[in-house]
Amino acid sequence: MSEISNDVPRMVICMVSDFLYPNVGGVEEHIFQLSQCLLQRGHKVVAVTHVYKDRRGIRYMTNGLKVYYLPIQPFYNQSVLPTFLTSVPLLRDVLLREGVDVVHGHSAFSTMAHEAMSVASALGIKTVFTDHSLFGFADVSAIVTNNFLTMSLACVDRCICVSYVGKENTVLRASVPPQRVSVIPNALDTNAFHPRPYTGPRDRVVVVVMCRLQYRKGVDLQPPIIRHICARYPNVDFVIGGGGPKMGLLSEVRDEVGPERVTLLGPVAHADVPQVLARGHVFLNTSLTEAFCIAICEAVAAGLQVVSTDVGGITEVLPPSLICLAQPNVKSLCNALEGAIEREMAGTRMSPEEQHRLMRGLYSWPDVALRTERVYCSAMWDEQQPRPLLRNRINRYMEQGGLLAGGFMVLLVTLQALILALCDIFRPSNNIDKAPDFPVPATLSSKLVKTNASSRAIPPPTNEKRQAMKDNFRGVQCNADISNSGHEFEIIVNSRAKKFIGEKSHDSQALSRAVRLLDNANLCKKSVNTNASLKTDRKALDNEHKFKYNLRRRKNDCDY
Amino acid sequence: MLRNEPRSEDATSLPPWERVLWKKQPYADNYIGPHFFRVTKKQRAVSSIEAFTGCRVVTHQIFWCLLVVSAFHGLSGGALLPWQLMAATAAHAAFTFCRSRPGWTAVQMAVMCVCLCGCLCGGVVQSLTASISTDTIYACTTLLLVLHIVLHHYGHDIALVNETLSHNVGVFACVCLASRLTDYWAVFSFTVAGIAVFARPDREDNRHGCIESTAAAVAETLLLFSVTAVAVWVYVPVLLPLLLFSTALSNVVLPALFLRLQHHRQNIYGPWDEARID
Repeated sequence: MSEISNDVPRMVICMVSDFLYPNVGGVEEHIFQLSQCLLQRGHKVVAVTHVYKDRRGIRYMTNGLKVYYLPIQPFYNQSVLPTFLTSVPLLRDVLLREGVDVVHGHSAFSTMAHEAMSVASALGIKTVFTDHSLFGFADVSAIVTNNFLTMSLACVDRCICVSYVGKENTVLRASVPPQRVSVIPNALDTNAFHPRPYTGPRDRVVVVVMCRLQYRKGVDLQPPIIRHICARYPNVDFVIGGGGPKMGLLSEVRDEVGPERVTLLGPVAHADVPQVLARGHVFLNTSLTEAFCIAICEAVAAGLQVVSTDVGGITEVLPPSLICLAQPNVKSLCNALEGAIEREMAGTRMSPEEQHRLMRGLYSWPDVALRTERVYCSAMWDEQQPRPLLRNRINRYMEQGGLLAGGFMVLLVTLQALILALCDIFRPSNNIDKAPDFPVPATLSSKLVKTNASSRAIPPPTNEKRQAMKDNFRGVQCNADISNSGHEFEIIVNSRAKKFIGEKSHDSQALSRAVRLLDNANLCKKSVNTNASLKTDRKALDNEHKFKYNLRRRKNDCDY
Repeated sequence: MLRNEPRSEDATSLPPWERVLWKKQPYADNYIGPHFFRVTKKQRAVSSIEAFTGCRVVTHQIFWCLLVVSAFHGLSGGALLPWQLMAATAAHAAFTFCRSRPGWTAVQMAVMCVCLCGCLCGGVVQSLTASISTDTIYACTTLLLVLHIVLHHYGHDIALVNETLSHNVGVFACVCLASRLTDYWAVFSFTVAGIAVFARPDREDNRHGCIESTAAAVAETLLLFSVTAVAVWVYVPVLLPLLLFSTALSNVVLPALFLRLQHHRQNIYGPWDEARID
């Protein structure tokens, strides 16, 4: 879907959001799944969030996903207090320590994501932002939020939205150039959501509702629908999963129609959702606004018929053969639900296996990771983007925000630049320990920096691009030619990799490790037993005292 | 690396772009189709006349508050007699009746309630705040009147508006001031006047934000300004600067500020808006 080849340089990606594990939700799931797929594609991924109760410091998740739980307390709705200044030294340390190439912020509600992207812009690191939600425009809170978002995204290199409606919304409310906004939908794990045998009574039809029980999910529409359907179809039951402030409303209906007709499950863990879906035949979604709605995709993959309100980006998500759309009112939803029930009872619906087969090819996390990786690359190689100098940033803010909001942001970024300058004096970047990589299995790292000149789908970076990348990496680089089994590889070595504590490598495919071993060999002045013939341009390497310094520091690089 | 074009060199052979996510389309993720944006109008233009006429209801409310304060000072200084205030109140009530035309039953009930409550509670009101200093009462009354102006229903349903609270604080401010009057009939007439001013139902044009015509709006505002200016000049000239300041604020500063801030408000309605449950 994009012009960038599958062969891309290894990147260090930093996911930042206030919403991360152990919190549970759509954004958290998205970050985790995307990170896992990017790890599998060979990139290094770290995640940054705030403390969650006793969960603080550095933790490792599946496949070595490194998570920084920074010592900042959440302030409101799981988000930290937006100061833009107090967290600058901490975020700078993390970004420099990890040698981050791309900072990827998630969710417009996440103040930590906005702060991290601002710090990253000041440090010259590329930034990407994913907007997961839709906003209105007409009330006071929307005006404030949209102005804040406009300022925050003024210096962001790329944006990602999960649907075309989301892109429209983001471009309009944050004044982002539409060419810089990509649409990459969410995905689901179709291995977890697949048709399962129905174990309930054969003569019953079960309607499943799974959502947070709040106004935005249209829970107020559900009681009259349940009354109507239960009165009209004696053999139709409802299973409702989820917790929230509207639970009392549904409890009243359950008491009214009988607990044998309506089952309230309360909050359901995401891992248990497939089992809940297996109890039903029809999935009902009554949301009043949705950017994407992954729940309907999961229901289709699990083999349920889906009846949903036609709001937000829902109409873009599924083909008409897999979803029955209705207007967000009781009458329209009842009509659509009756149609689905009739089809279920008559046996004229599409088979669950066929639904699952269709869903398997639609949305997958590896595809999302691939497309996101292209966005990262386009940000890294964008030569039109002005250099992240303070002067350029000030101009952008003044253009976007005018005198009031722009002036305020200029004040903030000026103070931020001052703090960063003080940090450079009192804690220079070369004094910051560089974190070693988690020992990634060769099977995961085999897709790294492997660019065969004869099979490249796109031309290699030009000298200008290479210079831009050099600026972006902000490290000393060298060009190395590795002659390995007759293949020519072009490799850009980041000086930060010097601190990798390597072992003797016999894996000729793991080129990233070979690069590090190459670098390591130069530092340690000892031979490395690889099958590769290595030649390096020593002129581009760092000077000797830094080597010695790094060698001393290397002993402390054992935080995993 | 930004692309706004299909990947293929021969764009004419490509299928047309569709606004769907489930279909694999040969277009870049950042592709923008010819009709991608379904909204073009971002802001509603507001003219200076609209801004001025919209702010006149605030002006009127400020004038009414100053009129009540002037009447209080007139009664307490003896320059205004209770029967004169009652006559003015009756005239205002008749004018309001002609404009809003409520049913006779409602009028009878309102008159009976006001008169009975005013007569019976006059003595109580007179001694209600005897133990509190006059300065405290004046300060309290000022705050209450400001709160009344802030919370008043000016024709738009926003979170800040609380019509019941606005009426109540207005009437309570009148009761506080009335408790400083010594004459029983002065207390009665002032209480009735306060109720007539603050507890009256909002006019329909306030509720719907519309007026008969610009000329009528200007004439009404000028008439009310003249009456207020005369009352303030005669009974409490020290409030003249406040009158001039508030008039300038509500007729010049607020409309100008409204016009200035209007471009921050983007009246865009699209599929991203939260659906409303009927």
